[in-house]
Parts: sequence; structure tokens; C-alpha cells
Amino acid sequence: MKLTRSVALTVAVAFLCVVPAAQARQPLPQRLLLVQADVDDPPPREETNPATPPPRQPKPIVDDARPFHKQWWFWALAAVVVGGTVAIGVATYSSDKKLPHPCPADTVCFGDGRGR
Amino acid sequence: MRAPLPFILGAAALAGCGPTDVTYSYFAITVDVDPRIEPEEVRPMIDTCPVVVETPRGEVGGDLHCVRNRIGDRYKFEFSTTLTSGSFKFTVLMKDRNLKVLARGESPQLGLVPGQTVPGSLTVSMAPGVGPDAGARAGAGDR
Repeated sequence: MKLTRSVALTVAVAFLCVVPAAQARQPLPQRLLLVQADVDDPPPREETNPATPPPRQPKPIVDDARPFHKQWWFWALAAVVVGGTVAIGVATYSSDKKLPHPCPADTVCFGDGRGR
Repeated sequence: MRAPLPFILGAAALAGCGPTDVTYSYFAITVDVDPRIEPEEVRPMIDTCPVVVETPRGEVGGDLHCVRNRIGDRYKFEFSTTLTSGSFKFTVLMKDRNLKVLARGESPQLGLVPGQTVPGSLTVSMAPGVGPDAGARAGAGDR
């Protein structure tokens, strides 16, 4: 029962994640066409005064929404997170490695940092 | 441009949160075995030589790793601690195979010096009621 719920939830989450991503991956020219289709409908012509300038043509909207993994800040963020994790790990590891001085000859040693 | 900044600051802050450096302090204890401990009767019975250290954090156990039938006259041990203050007391016991205490010795309270080695010594003497004339002594004590 739990498995079925988990599978259903996973499918739902995957669907929610995939659909927007698929929309974002739509080829650029097609999207531009969609935008232009809205624009191309000519407005109803009115008799205008010849002195007034003609209405400006709206510029085509350039869609530069790239996927997040193609953004520079994503990779900068990933580098900082990975680098920070490695730095923390190295700092922690080196501190834990500090041991007491070597045991003198003919002496039994025990206590912190040594076997008991 | 602003997105990674909080993460850079966070990572830098976390990098400084590592454990602080550990400082070890030491006690170098010399253990002399009282020559009055019967070399033929009592010493061959000694089987183990545990050490008990009373620390501010509680008792810690150690062992001199003495060898049966080859009990020497002098042992040395070194105790290390990461504590930075307090006094320590060392007790050495010599036990037979049945864990009966045959001899014991205690050090005085020794104060810790951070990062340094504090020397100390103790003498292990025969425990009361141990030895060939233990019965006679016990009898004399009863009178």
C-alpha cells in the first residue's frame, strides 16, 4: 500500500517536473512564431490623420530563458558548494588526525589518543 | 551575480567551524616494585598489573602488561589526556590469576600542566594479608 502511494507520488512529482521542463525546451523559433502570431493580427485600421506617424511595429520578443543548467551562476554555485564541502572535510579530517607524541621506549602508553 | 554570494559566505563561515586543535598533556609515571615482595613466593603468582587513573572525568583503566614469572623491579608508563586542568591519581595493582590483589601502590595527586609531561612515581608494596607469613601476621593481629 505504501509502495503504491510512493510510486504514485513519484510519478506525480516527475510529471510536475518534466512538463515545465519540456515546455522550456520547446525550440526557440517555434516559440517566437507563437509570440509573433499574437502580434501579427493586424489591428483594425482607422482613418488616421496623415500627419500622425504610423503605429510602430512591436519588436519581436527574444526569448533568452535558458535551462538552469546552462546558466553561469548555476555552475558557480555548484563549484562553491563542492569546494566548500571539500574544504570543510579536509579541515575536519586534519584536526581529527592529531595524535599524541610517540610513546617513549620501554614505556607503556595509554590514555586519550592511544589504546587503553 | 548575487546568487552564489550567500553560499560563498556560508561556506567560508563553515570552514572556520572545524574542531579546535587538540592539546595533549602527559603524566610519565615510574613504578618501583618493592623488593620486599617475596621474589619466590609472591612474584610468581602475579598475573596482571592493571592501572587505575582517577581523572576529573572519571576513572580510566590501563595495564602495565607485566609478564607472569618475569616481574621486574621497575616499570614505566605514560598517560595522555586531552583535559587541560585538574589533578590525577594513579594506582597500580598486581593481581594473581584469581584477580586477588597481591600488591598495590598509589601516587599522590598530580596536577596537570597543559601540553607538558608531568613526572611522577609510586612504589608497589605487598598488600596486607599477602605472603608466606600472612597467616601468622593475621593471627597476631587477631590477638
